[in-house]
Amino acid sequence: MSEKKNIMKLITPWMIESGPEGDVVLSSRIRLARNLEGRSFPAHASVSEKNAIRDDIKKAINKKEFNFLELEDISPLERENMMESHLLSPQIIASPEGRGVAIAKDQRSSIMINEEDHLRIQTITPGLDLKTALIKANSIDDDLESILNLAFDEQLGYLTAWPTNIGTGLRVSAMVHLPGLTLTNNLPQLLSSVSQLGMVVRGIYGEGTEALGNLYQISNQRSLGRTEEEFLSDLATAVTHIIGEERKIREALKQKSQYFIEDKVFRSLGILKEARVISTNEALALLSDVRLGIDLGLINQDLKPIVQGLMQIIRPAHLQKYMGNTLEPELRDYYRALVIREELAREG
Amino acid sequence: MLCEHCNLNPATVHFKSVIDGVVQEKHLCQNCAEETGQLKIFNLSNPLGSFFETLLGSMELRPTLMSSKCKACNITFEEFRQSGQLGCPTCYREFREELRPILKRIQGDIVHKGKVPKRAGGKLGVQRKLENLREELKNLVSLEEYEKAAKVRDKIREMEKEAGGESGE
Ligand SMILES: [Zn+2]
Ligand SMILES: [Zn+2]
Repeated sequence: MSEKKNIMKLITPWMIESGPEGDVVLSSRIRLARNLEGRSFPAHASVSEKNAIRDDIKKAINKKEFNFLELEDISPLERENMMESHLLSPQIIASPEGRGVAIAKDQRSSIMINEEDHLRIQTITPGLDLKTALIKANSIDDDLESILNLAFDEQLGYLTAWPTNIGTGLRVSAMVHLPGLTLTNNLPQLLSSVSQLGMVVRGIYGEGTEALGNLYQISNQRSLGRTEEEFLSDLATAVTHIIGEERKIREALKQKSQYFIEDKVFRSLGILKEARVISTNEALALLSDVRLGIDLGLINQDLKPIVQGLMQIIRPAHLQKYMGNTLEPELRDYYRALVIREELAREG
Repeated sequence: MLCEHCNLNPATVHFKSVIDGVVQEKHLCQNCAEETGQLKIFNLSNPLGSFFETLLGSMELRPTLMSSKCKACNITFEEFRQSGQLGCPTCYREFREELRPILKRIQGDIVHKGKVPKRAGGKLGVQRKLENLREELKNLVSLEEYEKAAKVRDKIREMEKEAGGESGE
């Protein structure tokens, strides 16, 4: 691989942009679940019914703003790639029949069709900016419901496949980077107080208890009984609290354990610059350290978009797209290390 | 103190939750905390799990309910109990009474206060179809697919004629 490619071309712009509170919050998301009246939810619909639902929705989608794709037409690798970019969910890529996705030309909004609900409208903004994401999601929803007959009950609100989503159909979430709280073992305590506020915390990558790369998603647990704006402000309050705690700990680490933290950050950068074989998990952990170093002012700010880009590009489907062909799992760790070395060398 | 749920083991997990200003306390043993999904939040995984089974297992249900079906999609209440997912929007109306306590447990408050659909109806639908067809026409022309473009153009004219009498736009 002598020819140098630019990872930035393969990455959706919002992923490397920094928004408000960008030292802790990577992105804000809104999801609205909607369903058509008179149709079975996707899990109970036959393929032909799903096709009919998809056709109805396809006609209602604004084609000036969105590219509409039927999932059967997308290659498995490309589907996985879209999943890594959070445009599709793991459930939907496993069985593409009768399913679809509409992706806004700026890639900040997407509509999943026949995932768990007939429609899942998703919007994303960099940093902590839930309001912008909600305004966008609402306008997409207004547009669709002016054409489609959506299932709605005066008492229960929008009706969804899971009873956990009825009412607003809303999930508000923020993706946060919490290396300080994780490193100092303060996270479990904080998470318990957050869950008492009706929020759920999940690790972004990896399964179960592991949170790879110290990345977490904080979202609302309930969807009924409050307005969208109230759910949004509840989450903003919880996230703002977490940001405050994370910053306090980072500052304390810098003041009280300067050599320890500098060693950790530069040791991780050193490994990333020199390793010849590296797994996704190890790479995410080391990139998290480097990101912390940037946010603490120990490493040049210019490296931030590259580190954010690498967090995405090292995932299996992105890596293979970057390399331009499918790679056996054993080879991926080698090429992953190579890509990281080349990208970090780019900035001198 | 004994676990509130099983009354067998000592309560080692204590929860305090504030929902709409009302403080609720729960004292559970490790097992029951895990079973009711209370601990899963701390483990960062999906908090639902076997939540529905546990929840419904503890409810008194009328005996015929399990086999009663939604008239629209034909799923039985038993199927819902197992999967946790409803079959279609009508299920919520068919099983309204049975769902009420479940929804209350999951959601707390069970009256919707959020957005209400505007349902502008058919006119906008025609406009959207026209906009999409015009977009398609533009693409076909740029791809030099003139034959297909001509067909789309005819369709647009036809629709414009139909819509023409009713709308000034
Ligand atoms: Zn117990
Ligand atoms: Zn039904």
